Amino acid sequence: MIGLPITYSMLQRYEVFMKPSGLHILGTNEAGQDMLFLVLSGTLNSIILSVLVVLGTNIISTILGSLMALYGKVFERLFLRIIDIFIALPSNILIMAISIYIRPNMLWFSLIVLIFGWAQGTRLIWSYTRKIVAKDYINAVRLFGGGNLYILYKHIIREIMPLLLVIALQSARRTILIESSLSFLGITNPEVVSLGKLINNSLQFLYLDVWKWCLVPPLLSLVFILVSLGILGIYTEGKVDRRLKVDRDIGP
Amino acid sequence: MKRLLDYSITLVILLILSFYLPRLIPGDPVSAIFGEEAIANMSEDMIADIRNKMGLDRPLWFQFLIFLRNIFRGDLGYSYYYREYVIDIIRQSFPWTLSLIGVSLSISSILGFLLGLNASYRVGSNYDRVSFIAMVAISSLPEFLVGIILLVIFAINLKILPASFSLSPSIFKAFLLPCISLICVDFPNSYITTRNLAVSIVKERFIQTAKAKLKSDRRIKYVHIGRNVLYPVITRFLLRLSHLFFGVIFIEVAFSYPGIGMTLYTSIIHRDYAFVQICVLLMSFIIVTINMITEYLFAGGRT
Repeated sequence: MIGLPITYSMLQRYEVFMKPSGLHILGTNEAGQDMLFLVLSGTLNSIILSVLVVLGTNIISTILGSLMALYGKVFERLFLRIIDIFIALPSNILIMAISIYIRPNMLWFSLIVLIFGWAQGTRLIWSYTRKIVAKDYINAVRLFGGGNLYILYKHIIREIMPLLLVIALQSARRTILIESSLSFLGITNPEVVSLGKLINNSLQFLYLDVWKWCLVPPLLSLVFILVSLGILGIYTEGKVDRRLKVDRDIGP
Repeated sequence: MKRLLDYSITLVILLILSFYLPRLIPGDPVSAIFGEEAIANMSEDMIADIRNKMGLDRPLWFQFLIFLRNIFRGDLGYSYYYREYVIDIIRQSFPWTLSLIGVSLSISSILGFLLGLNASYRVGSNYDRVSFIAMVAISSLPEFLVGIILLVIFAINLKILPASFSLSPSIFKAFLLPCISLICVDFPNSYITTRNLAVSIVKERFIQTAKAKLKSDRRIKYVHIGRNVLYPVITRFLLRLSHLFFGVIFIEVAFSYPGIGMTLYTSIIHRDYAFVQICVLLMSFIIVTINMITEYLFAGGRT
């Protein structure tokens, strides 16, 4: 497409296992590829993947979750049932099993993660939207002839914005976690550069002295991404929780 | 009862998926299930025999029935990479995994329970704040990263523990590092859960009463508060038990520990899908069943 995701065959080859120097700040790996560039492209690929999944999860959970609360009745009950079943599925193992068999490329992989990850967010949005729908001003809108889609677009999306941030952080974290774990096992597409794959590759050279610049950079980069997402997630969750509580105190 | 229905539907979905996935790949399902290498080494008669046994010339629903019958009979197939029956492989490797999970989960739960209670008593202090952030940071790491970080520190730099299971002189020493890393994976979760639950109880009136009665701090912490968070902490234990059945795969691979995860990894690499199919089915069944039991036992306590 536009050269994304970055694959191993795109990278230039130099001498193998060069020590870090001015030209190659982190040295080169066993195939002679520049380590710094590998780490950066692995990080970029993880970010692209998580952006795809986050977009998908947020769009599905916003639309489906709020429509469930707005329309109610059979529609709501049916989807609640489906959501409960999806939450009960052991998603990690199933993502792994499907990847083992079909070795998906990035787009398919994001779709698989999305299939097993949309339910939690949708449930969260649904339970919050249900509280909003019960408020008086929504009844007023209805009285003035505002339809469900109008309420969704004009009122509910604005109210659930902070929740969408929480869901986005959660699903980004989960996506990078599962992607790096599976690529560590070598289950994902072998061509695409990924941090998990870099870490697994450098494990073979643990007893040579090269692991310091082969293993540490991808490891630290992955740690940095995941820890920052985790702390950010906890922080925003606390904020949003507090905000929801305030809402509840003011509301009916 | 409603949730029970959900879980039964989930189990059926799992069965269908594990039956249907190998047949989803373009090409011959025999090669998808047993791997191309195995097929290349088989004689025509053997392949014909397998086809007949799996009923591959029959309609799909009939194949599914055969698959179900084989599973309920305990006939889980034959792995051509290990040259053993799948059920024997599972029987050999499963105790290793179970003992690893059991030991480390128990230790991390008890440690997390005690330290979490301790932290909740000092909520808002620097000690609590720093350790909370640290625990959040560790808990957001994937299992294999924790394993590799410990491997690099203890086995490569300090050289006090063996890196790989097969290289080690004693089983106990080799068991130690996987166990420690699984504890590190689970401990933050246990700590945070206990702390968050206990923080809300510290504010309760009966704690003030206990303090007014000049009970010792230790008694208030571990008896009065501890007793009140015990119920959800046990729920957490069970939920994590099911969660760790996935996470343990990566720890086992990092340390080449001879459990079910390592066996799964080896058979993935060698494309021996007969074992993969059953192993995935078994693990997801275990996870769903533990979750179901947890929900059944503790539904009242959590919601």
